[in-house]
Amino acid sequence: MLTLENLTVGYGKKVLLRDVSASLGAGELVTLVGANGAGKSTLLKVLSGDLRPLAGGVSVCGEPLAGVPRIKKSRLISVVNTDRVEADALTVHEVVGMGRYPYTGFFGRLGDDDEAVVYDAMKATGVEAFAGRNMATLSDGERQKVMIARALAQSTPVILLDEPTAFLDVASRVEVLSLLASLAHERGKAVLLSSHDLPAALDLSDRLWLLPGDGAMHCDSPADLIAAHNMVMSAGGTCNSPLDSLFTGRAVRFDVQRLDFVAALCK
Amino acid sequence: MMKRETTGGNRRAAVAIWVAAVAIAFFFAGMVFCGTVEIPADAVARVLFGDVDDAVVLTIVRDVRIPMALTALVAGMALSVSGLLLQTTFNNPLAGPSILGISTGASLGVAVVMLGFGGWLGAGLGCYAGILAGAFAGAAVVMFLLLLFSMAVRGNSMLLIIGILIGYLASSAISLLNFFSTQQGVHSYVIWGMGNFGGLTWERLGVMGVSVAVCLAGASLFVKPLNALLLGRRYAGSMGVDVRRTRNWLLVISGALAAVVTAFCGPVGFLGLVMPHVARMSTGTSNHVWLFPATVLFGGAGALLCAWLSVVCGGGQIIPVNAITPIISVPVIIYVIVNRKKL
Repeated sequence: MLTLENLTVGYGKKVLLRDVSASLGAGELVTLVGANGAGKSTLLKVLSGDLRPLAGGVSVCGEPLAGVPRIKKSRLISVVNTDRVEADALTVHEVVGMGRYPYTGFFGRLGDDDEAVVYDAMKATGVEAFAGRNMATLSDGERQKVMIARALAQSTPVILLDEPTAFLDVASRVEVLSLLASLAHERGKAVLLSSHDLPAALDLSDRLWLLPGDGAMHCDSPADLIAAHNMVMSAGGTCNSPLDSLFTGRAVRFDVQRLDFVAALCK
Repeated sequence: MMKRETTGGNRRAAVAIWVAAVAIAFFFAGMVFCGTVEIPADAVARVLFGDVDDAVVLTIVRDVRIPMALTALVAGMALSVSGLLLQTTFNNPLAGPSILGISTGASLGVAVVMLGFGGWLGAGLGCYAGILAGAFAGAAVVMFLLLLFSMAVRGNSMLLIIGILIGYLASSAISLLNFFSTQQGVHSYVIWGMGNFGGLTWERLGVMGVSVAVCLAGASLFVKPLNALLLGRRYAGSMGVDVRRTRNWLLVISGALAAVVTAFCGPVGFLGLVMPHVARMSTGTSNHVWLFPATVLFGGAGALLCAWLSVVCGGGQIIPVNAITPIISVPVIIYVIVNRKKL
C-alpha cells in the first residue's frame, strides 16, 4: 500500500532518517517507536505528503505520492494528527461526516451512501452512541475516537496516526489501540501509528519500525525483536539489541519480563 | 436516533435564522418610524403606502431614514461575515476586522487619500473612488502583514496581539497625518472617522450594496472548505482542501468587505467580532451551512439595532455609532471568553 524507497527525511541540513526503505501492507498494523526528536512525526508528515522528502520517494498504491493530485491523495491516505480540534460547536456526526469531504459535492451535502459510510464508521469506533453531542462535551478519549471515525469515513486504504494515544488514560489507550488493530485486521486497512507505549506496541502491532535516532530505521515483528534481544542478552549483552538501541546512552534498558524499558540500574 | 438528533440541531438553527429575520424587520421599521425629527407614525405610514401629502416627510423618509437603515443593514452583514471568515480562517474566536487592525488599516488608507491628497483631489468626501481605493489598499496591506505573521508566530493570542499592535501603528500614522494636514481635511476626516451609517446617497448606497453582495456571494461558495478548516489547517489539507489558496481567497473577501464598509461608513468597531458569536450561540452550531446565513442576518440585525439606538437615544441628534457598538458587544465578548466551552 505504502512504500518507502531510499527515503531521506529531515529539515534542511538536519537529516533525521537516511536512505530508509520499508513498506506497509494492507491489513497490517505497524507502530513507529523512537525517542523524542528521532523523527517519528517528521516521517509521518512526509508519508502524508505534508512535507517533501530530502531524497528518495514514497509511493502509495503503486503511484509516486508526489505526483498524486490533492483530492485523489485524500481518497488514499487519511490522517489523525496531534492538533487539538477546536470545533467545539460541531456534533460528532458532523465531524465524522467531514471525512466524506473528498467525495461530496460543492456544498458538502451528504448523500444516502455517504450517510451509510459515516454511520458505519461511527459504529465501528463506538461513537454512534453520542453522535448528536457537540465536540465540546467529549473527553479526550472520545474525541480521539471521533477523529479516527472521521479518518475511517474518508474510506482510504491507508490510515496514518501521530501519537493517537498520547494524553489518554489507560482504558482509552487500550480501546483506541485495539480499535486500530481491528481496522487493520478485520477491514484490511494499512495502519501506521507512532507511539511511546512500547508494551502495547509489542502486544498489538504486526511489525515495529524502530527509530534509534541515528538515521537508520529497524523494521521487524515483535516476536523477532524480542528474540533478537534475548539472543544478545544470552551472549552476555555486550552489544545493543535493536530495542536497546532506541535509547542508546540513556539510563534505561529493555526488560523482557515487562516488555518495557526500566531504569538501567535496578533489576 | 442519529437522524433525529441532527435534524433537532438544524431546527434550532432554522428558528434562530427566522428570529434574526424578524429582528431585521422590526429594527428596520424602527429606523423608518423614529428619527432625529419627530414625525407622527401615521404620516410616515401614509408616505410608505405612496400617499404623499407632505413633501418634507417624503424627503426625510425616502432620502434620510430608509438609506440610513439600508446602510446599517448592509454594513452589519458585511462586517459580520468579514469577522466570521477571519475567525474560521485563523481558527481564532476573537478575530475580527477591527481588532486585527484591518479596519484601522483601511482608515489609514482613507486618511492618506483624504488628508494627503485632500487638496489635490478636491477636499472632503468628494472623491469616493479615491477613498474606496485607499480603504482597499490599507486593508490589503494589513491583511498581508497578518498573513505573514500568522506563519511566523505560534498560538492564537500572539497573532491577535500583533493585529492590535498593527492597529496602533496605523492609528499613530493617522494622527501624524492629521497633525500635518489642513484644518478642513482634518474636519471631514474626524467626522468620517467617528463611524456613521447616515449620509449616503442612493447612488453610493447602490455601489456599497452591490460590492457587498458580490463579496457575500463569493464567501457563500466557501461553505464546505470553511467547515473543513474548523478542524484545523492540517486536517483540512489531509481531506483534500487546497489550504493556501482557500485561505488567501477568504482573506481577500474578508478584507474587501471590511474595506467597503470602512470607506462608506468609517471604521465601525466590534460588530464584526461579536455578531458571528451571537449567530453561533443562537444556532448552537459552527457548521457554516447554518452559521453563514445566520451571521449575515444577525449581523444586519445587530447593526440596525445599534443604528436605531444611536438615533433614539440621541435626543434629536445622532450618537456616533462607535459609542454604541462596544456597549452592546463587550458583554458578549466577555461571555464568549469566559464560557468558551459552551460554544
